Amino acid sequence: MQLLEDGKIIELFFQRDQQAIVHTQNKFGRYLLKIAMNILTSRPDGEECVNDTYLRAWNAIPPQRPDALSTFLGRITRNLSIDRLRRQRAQKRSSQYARTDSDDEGNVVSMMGAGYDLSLDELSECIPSEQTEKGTPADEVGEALEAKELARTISDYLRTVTEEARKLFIYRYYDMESLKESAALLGITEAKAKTLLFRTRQGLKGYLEKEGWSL
Amino acid sequence: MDAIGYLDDDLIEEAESVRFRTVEQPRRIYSRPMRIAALTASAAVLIFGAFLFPRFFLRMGSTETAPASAQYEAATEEGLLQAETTAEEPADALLMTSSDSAPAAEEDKAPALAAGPADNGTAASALTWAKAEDTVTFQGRTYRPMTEEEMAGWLEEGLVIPPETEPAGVTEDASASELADASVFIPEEADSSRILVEIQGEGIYGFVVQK
Repeated sequence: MQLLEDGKIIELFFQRDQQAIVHTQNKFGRYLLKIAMNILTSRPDGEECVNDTYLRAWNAIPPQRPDALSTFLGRITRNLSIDRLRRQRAQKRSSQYARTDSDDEGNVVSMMGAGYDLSLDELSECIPSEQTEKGTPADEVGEALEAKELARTISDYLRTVTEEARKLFIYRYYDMESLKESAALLGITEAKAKTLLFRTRQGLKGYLEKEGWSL
Repeated sequence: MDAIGYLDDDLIEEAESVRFRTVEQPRRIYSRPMRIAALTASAAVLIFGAFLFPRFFLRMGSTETAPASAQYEAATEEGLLQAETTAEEPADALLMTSSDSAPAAEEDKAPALAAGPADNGTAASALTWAKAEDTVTFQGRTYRPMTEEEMAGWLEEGLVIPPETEPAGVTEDASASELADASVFIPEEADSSRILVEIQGEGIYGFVVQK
């Protein structure tokens, strides 16, 4: 099937033509599943998030007319995947009879969200960590506003670094790609990617402190 | 939602554009700064050459081909080029046109290659680019774009530029950086299984014969 341009796919959405979903799936399906799998690692869960993405896109377009479909859809999938991961973890913690994955020696092993955790671990040294406990709705709104403000500052910082460092940051911490895959996307070695990310994180930490953010 | 999830759209778009490079965009072998340097150097060589060899550059626009020996006699007289071999009729220009066998589609209109120095000394021939298949046909053979690994391997082996197509200052076994300064775009190999094509305004691309 021929890949349509984003503009044509969006027109199909506006015409309420279900071919919009077909073409979206054809063009972005693998990319969206990759994002979901980087966070969830479970294929059925990932596929469900991707299907939910299509539904959300169908409901959002129109009236929205995204400039770049990949960014628009990728963000939806990312959010859905993270929300799903948090719900699954909350259920595991609260369930009286929670089963845990264990290896042959009886040690608890969980691969769920491994990429997400690794990403957060690396970022925790340079950006304020999010609250894990759910507060009131007002607290959640406040947290969201604060997160947006922080994101604006991080975006400003990323515009001061090289294109390579910027893209690497996005692949690693937004798409939650592994270091190996992030390096491959840029055509650089893992070692260089690791060093570049470290320097970017250090620079970000200094920038945030200068802007008044405390860890 | 975490803060990273709220990063500006243009940052995400810039990063994700790498994933969605389409077939219509030829794979760029060289980095952007190198391409800019190559285009600037090519323009400088052409302008410089126009002053030194006005007759040669005037002939480039015509459909008649001049005997290669006459060109090299002129160059030798100037003392700037050492012609080691006598080339056959050089190509005045390479044209990229839509291939007859390519599917008829508006998107398949191919850009024209800029006229450059003579090629390997072979007769003038058309290089056609079948955009849909992402292949080029040259001298009756079909070539596909090189992968980055293949191009890197070729550079390591050492691209050989035939003397007939070397501007002053470029030697055989030119490295990638020297090649970037040259306006030559079709090096020669024993079996012509690999060719290099410079598309003015676009970049330099390696092609390997399709098996």
